[in-house]
Amino acid sequence: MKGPDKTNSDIFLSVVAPVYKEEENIEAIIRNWEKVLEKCEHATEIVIGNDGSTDRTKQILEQLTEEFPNLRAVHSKQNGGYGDALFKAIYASRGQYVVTIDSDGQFELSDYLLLQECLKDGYDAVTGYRMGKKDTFLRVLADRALNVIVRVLFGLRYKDTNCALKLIKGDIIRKITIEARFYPTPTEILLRLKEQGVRIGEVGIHHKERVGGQSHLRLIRTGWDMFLFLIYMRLKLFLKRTRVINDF
Amino acid sequence: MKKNSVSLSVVAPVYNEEQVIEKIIRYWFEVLKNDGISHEVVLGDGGSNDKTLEILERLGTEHTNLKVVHAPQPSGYGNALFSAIYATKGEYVVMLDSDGQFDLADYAPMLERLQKENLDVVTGYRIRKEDSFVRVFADRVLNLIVRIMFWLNQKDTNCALKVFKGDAIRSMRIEARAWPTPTEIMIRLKAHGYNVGEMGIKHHARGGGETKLRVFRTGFEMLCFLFYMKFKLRLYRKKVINKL
Repeated sequence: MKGPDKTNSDIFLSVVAPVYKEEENIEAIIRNWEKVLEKCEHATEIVIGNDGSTDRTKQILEQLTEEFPNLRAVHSKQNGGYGDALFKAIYASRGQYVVTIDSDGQFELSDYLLLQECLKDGYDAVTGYRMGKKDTFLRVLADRALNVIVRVLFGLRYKDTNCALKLIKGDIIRKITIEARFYPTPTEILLRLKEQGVRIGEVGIHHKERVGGQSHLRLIRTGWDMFLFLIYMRLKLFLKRTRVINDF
Repeated sequence: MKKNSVSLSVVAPVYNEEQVIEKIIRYWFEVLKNDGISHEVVLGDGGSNDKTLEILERLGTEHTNLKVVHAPQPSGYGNALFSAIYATKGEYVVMLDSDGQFDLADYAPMLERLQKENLDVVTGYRIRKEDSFVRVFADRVLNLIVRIMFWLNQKDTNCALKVFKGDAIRSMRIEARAWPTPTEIMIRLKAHGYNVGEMGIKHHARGGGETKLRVFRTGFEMLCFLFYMKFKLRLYRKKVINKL
């Protein structure tokens, strides 16, 4: 649970990811991440938020946490959604920096170095934009539409707001509460960071096709719900600024 | 199950009420003493910059179960009230305004009804309101809008005199900064399935001091806020957002 800041100065980097029913992929992905992190000269950890998976994901994670001492998993009993699982893991993290990433093999964890490099320009957070997106036409279209809507509603110009790969200072991200249950979460994170005045950089990263498993995304419903959610955020911002409500 | 050592908590927000606050607090303690119920009075200060806090500090030395909590600034009715609510320990909580518009003694039949019918909240509705025509009219219009938008059956959701089960009200989060708070409480309680009752109560002219309420600004605020809550409820039910 969100609480007093738990930054453990020994742990430099926390890799945080939500997972839902990924029994086919998750072991290979975690092994790959551990290999990548071995090359890091500082202490690291991986925290996985298991969103109540009903397949063998939990058992696989339990075996892996015995094998890797820097791996931890937070298991939710119920399916609370992408955002819920991600943030349960974030609140359990302790690193100075947090990298958020998806657990379905679409991103290269080693790209976190690109994000880290960008921090040198004085940013407290860096968001990735997917170069050469390997997605179905509809998804690419949806993501483009999302960027346009965010620009129109909030005046923010990002190339890929909903990109899951982001790097944020640990104490900043652990103070945030998010509301979206499903896929708008990376966008919501950006909006909330921006509202707090956090300086955010942007860097190109690689994107691969999902390997095995299945996407749990139903596009039309998700698109409409995302739109409604953004309207909700905009309304909230308006009400906060006109002092009708207390918090954003 | 641990029994709360304080049975009834009286809560109110307070803001610059140096003219009436002493009389009101003394009256409350008299009422509570007469009723022989174990009690505490918790006030939420919204940033008073007159003599209110001095007066309360002095009263605090006479009554050890008077507590003043300071709301984070910038403050409004809503967060001043809830700063106090979160600091209460009573099994039951009575909320009301600190300007003399309500008689604390009216809590007793409401509490009785709450206990008898095992409700979670009993809200008052104001009978024969002693207020300017504009305010009464605004309140009636507001109530109609609230009833239509949220299917609430109460006659006067924004009435500030309410009696709750302590655990129920303390588990509530609120978002409105100022005037919509009593209505917001009712909307949330209904959304979470709590049992609600209502009872007619007397309304008095303000005991002194002046009202801090500006009708048009608050009307606008209220409409915006209701629209927001309606939208939020819909997103919550569609599972687009996680919490209400």
